[in-house]
Amino acid sequence: MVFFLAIYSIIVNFFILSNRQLWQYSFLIGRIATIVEFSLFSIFFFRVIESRTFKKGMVAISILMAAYLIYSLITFSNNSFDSVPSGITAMVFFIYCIFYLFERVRDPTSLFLYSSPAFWIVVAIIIYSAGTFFPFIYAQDYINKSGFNQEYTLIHSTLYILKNLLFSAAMLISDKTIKSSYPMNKKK
Amino acid sequence: MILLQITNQSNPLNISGVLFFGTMGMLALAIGLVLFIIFHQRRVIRYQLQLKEMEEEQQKILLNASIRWQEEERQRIAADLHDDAGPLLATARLYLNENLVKQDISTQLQSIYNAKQIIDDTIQLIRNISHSLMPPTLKNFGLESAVNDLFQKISGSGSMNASSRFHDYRQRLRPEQELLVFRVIQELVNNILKHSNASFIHVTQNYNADKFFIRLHHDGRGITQADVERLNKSALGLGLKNIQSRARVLQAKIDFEKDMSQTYYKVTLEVPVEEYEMIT
Repeated sequence: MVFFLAIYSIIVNFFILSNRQLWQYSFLIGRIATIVEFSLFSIFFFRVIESRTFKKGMVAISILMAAYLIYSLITFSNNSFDSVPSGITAMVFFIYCIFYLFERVRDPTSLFLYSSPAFWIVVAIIIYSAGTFFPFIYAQDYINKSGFNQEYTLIHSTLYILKNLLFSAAMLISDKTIKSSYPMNKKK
Repeated sequence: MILLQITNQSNPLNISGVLFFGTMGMLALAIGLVLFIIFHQRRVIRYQLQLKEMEEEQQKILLNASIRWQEEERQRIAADLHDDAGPLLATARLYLNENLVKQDISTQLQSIYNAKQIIDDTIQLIRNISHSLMPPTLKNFGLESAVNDLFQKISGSGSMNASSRFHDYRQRLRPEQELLVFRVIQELVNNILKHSNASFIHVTQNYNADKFFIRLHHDGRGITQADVERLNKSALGLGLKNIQSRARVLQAKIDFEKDMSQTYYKVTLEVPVEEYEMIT
């Protein structure tokens, strides 16, 4: 999932940067990216979280979020940033991450947590979600102001790079010794 | 959304500060959380390693105790055979030497009679050694009979009143389980006889929820779980370590405690028993 997201990001960024005509659709592309990101991360969390009750809640949240994201994609104007879906998405991921970490702490069998790729993916998501929450909710009103835009770009780009670095680290981590400890790595 | 509405009305100049401190706060929260998890995990790992080391140490002590007990048992059997059976058979051989044929008939008959007596004694001695290794009552009639037999012998000496009551022993345990439980009772009784100065021992048996219970009460000087744990760490208490070693083989729990009335000491052996493990 993370790999697909990385590929998707590369393609989108490559096209936006290479074709100036696409810049006018950057908000729309951003909203589509939010939907893709939300879907992939939700699947990821659905696989790594063990609690059935929480999973049921996740399904309900995902359905509601999907409906809202599609609705906002259709109805919102093309030339502005939509803070609500981005802010809600960041908060939802933040809660998912906290629950995942809480679940791992409670599980006495999950030792050497930081040797698991799932853990580093969650770390990347929690840092990115936490760090971009405020920029996202202010962006709708202030993105066109140059001071804010600079700050937004600085924060977002830094966290985006950090997130991708952590994703890369997660993909590189060899997890042979502790395969059985994590539900994500269990063979079905 | 409330935040958005508030910020819409607020001064744009403050946005930069709110954005900076808000982001920093959220990042600090996230990183703090991750660090807490990592350090907590490390502490758990350290604790589990310590626990594992302690378990290994305990295992080693029990293994050593078991080996020492086996060696002592072998030495005892060797001593019995060497010191008792050996001289008896040597004496019988003397009676039956080559010169016997040269003796008169009455001397020959007397020598043969003496040799027969000695061989009978030797047979009895070997039987006793064999019975000490595996009591025939236990093998043939079960734990209840073996414990009753043992307690009759103790009561017969007149120094102590020993009694037992088996409440639910319609089905016997597996032979190897019975032997282990019997050895535990034997060792406990032996310890009570040696150290407690008790005037009575009472053993009760119960079966409840797939668990076989043996409870032993006595009114002498006893030990509690704390004493057991202290003795486990020292080189003393070989018998106690044997009891624990056997309990471990049985996957049983053994508790040493003082009775509710604080008058008697109580030892409870709790053996998990599956229905199929019991033989009728």
